[in-house]
Amino acid sequence: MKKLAIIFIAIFGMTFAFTSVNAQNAVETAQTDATIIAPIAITNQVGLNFGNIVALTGQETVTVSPAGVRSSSNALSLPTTTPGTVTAASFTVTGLADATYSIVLPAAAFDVTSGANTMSVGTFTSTPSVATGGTLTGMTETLTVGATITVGASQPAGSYTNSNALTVTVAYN
Amino acid sequence: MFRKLSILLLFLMLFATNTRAQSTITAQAFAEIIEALTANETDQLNFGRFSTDVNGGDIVINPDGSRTIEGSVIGVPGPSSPGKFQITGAPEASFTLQLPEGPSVLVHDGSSKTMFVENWVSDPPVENGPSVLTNGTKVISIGATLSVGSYDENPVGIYSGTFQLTFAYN
Repeated sequence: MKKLAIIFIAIFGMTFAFTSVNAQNAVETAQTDATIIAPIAITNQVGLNFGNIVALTGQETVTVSPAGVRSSSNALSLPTTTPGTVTAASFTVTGLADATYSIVLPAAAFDVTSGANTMSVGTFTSTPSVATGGTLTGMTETLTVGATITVGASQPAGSYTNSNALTVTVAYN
Repeated sequence: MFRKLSILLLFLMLFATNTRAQSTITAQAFAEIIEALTANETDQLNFGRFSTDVNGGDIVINPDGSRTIEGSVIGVPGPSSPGKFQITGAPEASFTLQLPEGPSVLVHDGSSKTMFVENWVSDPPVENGPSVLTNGTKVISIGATLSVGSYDENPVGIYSGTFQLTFAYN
């Protein structure tokens, strides 16, 4: 019963904090008693970038690891002196110090497009991994995400993008 | 009255945790596909016409098209040319050229007599490092040295063979 009372006080505090500051007295009282957890937040720092890929006569896959290292099923497809910009997607997760959180990466592959041409991006991996989840040591952690792109046989040249499909969700455990 | 209030607050709390205990963001994905390199032979490597003599000699075709003859071979006027290849690919990309590592064998039309082509050189020179596809294209010129034997070794006729160049994005 005592537990329940504390929970309700916490409710009170959060509710007023979100709605308005009109009930000034109530807010102040509540804040002394309740722990308001810092909300978890994620911001995107860098996009996922596969760099320059040479279209070959056969299909190939190019993978960018969460560390930003690129590899290909056919090394000929990766020019070494003009690799272009190669980056894993990078996010900053912030929230309650030392809280652990879970990570949700896209469940299905999505397309990047250049005009009418498409390529598929899938097999998402992250550091920290989805399996282990993250820890907000010092209230923050960098989360990086890699993936694999499938380049078709004689894929037409062009800049392929998708600006709103690589969706990452983090949640307190 | 108290009970009602409790229910209302509980509802609000659930709402609050749902929106704040997780956060979602979307990032951009990007890739640049660049054209594969293609090479077209616009001119065949041609050592031109010449007469052999008792001792044989060398015919050198330079990448700039000039021909020099060494030994007892006598040059005969007529067309000769370095091999010319037009390389196309991604604009401003750099690529490397690999010349044949060994000699190419030219075989006489009417017999199994042979001549060797070696000492491959190019313009731009391989030792200068990768070349750049200015506006997506670059012409590479290939020269080499043909070793001609004596009249007996290399009877009159047409000799032909192939050689392999490798171009790759760098």
